[in-house]
Amino acid sequence: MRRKIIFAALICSILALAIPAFAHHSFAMFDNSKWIIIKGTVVEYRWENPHTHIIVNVAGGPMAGTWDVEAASINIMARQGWNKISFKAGDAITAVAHPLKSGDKGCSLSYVVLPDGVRRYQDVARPDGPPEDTSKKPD
Amino acid sequence: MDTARNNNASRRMAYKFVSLSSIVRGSVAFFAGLFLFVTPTLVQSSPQPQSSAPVNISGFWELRYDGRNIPHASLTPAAAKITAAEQAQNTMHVIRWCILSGMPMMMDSGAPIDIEQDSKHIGILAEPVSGPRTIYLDGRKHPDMNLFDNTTIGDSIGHWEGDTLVVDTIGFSDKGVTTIPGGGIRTPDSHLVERYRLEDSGAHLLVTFTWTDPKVFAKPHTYAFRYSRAAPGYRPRDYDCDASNKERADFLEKTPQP
Amino acid sequence: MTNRFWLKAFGTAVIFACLLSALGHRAIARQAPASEPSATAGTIPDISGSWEPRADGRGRGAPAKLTPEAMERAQKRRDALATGDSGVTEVARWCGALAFPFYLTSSPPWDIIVGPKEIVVLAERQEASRHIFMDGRNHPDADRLEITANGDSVGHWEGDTLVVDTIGLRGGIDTTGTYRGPHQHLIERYRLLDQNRLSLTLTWEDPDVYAEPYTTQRVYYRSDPSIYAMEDWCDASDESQWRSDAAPLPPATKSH
Repeated sequence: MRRKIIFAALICSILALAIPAFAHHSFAMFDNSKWIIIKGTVVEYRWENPHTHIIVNVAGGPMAGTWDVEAASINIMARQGWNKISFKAGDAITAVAHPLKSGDKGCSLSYVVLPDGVRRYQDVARPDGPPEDTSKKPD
Repeated sequence: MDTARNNNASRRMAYKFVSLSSIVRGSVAFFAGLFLFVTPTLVQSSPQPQSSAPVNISGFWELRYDGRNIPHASLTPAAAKITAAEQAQNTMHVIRWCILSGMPMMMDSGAPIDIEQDSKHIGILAEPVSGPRTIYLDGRKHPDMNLFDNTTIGDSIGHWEGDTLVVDTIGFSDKGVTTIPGGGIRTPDSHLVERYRLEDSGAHLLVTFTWTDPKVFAKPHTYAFRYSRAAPGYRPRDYDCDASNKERADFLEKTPQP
Repeated sequence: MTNRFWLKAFGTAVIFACLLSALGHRAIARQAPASEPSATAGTIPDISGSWEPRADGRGRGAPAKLTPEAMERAQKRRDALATGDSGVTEVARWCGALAFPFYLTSSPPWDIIVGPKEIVVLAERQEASRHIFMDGRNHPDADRLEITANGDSVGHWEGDTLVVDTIGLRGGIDTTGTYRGPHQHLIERYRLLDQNRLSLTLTWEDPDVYAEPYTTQRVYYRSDPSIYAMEDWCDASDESQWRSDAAPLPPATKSH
């Protein structure tokens, strides 16, 4: 019984201590254990609240199609170096993200990889990436 | 004879000496006293962040019934076409949906504003739905407007001209409550210059607002507010705006029936 | 001038100073802060400015000891979260107040302004800014206390530490999924670790949640001086902003 209480208390406190990036919807709709890499061309760059959306066209391969890459609020992203002209239609983009559990073409952005090979995260609180991605973290 | 004259002379000189001595003594006493009085008072009452500005305009400030002087604005023909009804409709929409109202409404919104000043910046907090204004005093310029995300309150930088705080604001959006007292509307091209000055030994805060916008105003439009201090111990209240509340929405949207 | 002269001059000065002090103190007192820092002049820590979290900003400290009721409630939260209900969906959808301690667990910077009698914390969200009264006032009596999103905060300096006492916070689930009740009492301690790092220790007391006071500590970093405040734009009437594949949105209006 004592061990149960301690265990439960630990879990509760871990939840209390965690800082998820704030979402108006739950991140539970994304599979946070999986990573995908979207390489394509920007169709639309919607720099807005509550979430910035980057619509990306992937030309060929198994991920071909139009993807909705969802990011954070402009207040969060601006402090990671993003601004309203970071991308525009026609730009090439490499986005590393968590896919939707549903299998639809949507994902939750962790970072983009800039042409110089350095990552630009969308949220300071989520500095994660797939182990196989060798892009450099920003200073 | 000479002795007497000398004695008199000596007495006069002695008298002068005594007078001089008194004067000197008095002056020394005065300045020493001033020094002894002022130094500890300064040390106690000036926490480090306050020391660089000539005045401090911090406090809760409210507009009373006699606190406004608002002339009619001189508008461009295009701006004159925007009707009061259209503006009232926009204002109602903003209030009904708890949208940030911004400038200039937050400076006259029905509750006292809280101005807090330290050496780096000044915050202006309004109770009703609006984000706080930040006025930077560190000598910075406005950010690059090609990268700036315009807001209902703009980007504000301030400097002192004698006892007057001069605030320069650009970077406004066309969102929120855009109606300007006296006529005209706030747009992304608006440029606002405010002047803040304490009056009546700090009992009142006089603020002049000068709006310039080539598409709206035929010439710069100035109006003035004279704020009074709120009651001592004033506490701001929560402005809990619930856009999902049906009764509230009905009250604001439906025409009142007798 | 004789020694006696200087002695008289000094004596006069002292008397003069005392007189002025007695008269002038009343005038000065109106402007001077009632809660003067106990640190000596010029040594108030400079906590003014923007502070932001980094990836290492998660709360540190021993785990909370919850009451049995709180543990049950937390389990229900975990079940709800697993089905996609974050609990704050509706508040956010209607651009409602994201009550304290939201800005402490969110990524954008928050800005401390140290006024003479009040410290304000500016957060980039309507209704999220806080007033910390430093003028020696107490909390209102229970029958005059309004329960609000950000509570009633009074503060004072203890040496180099700003101590803030807050009651009157509305209960409910905060944006970390933590439930706290209407009787919660929070003590915050702000202390500079160095010019660019601010340690914030929060001690929560809540008889509905914690079996004993729960303390957690976070470190915030001073923002780059070029940082400027942004607006957290939220328009509940703009359906296009709320496109999502997530759970269906609440209806346009509902009765309470």
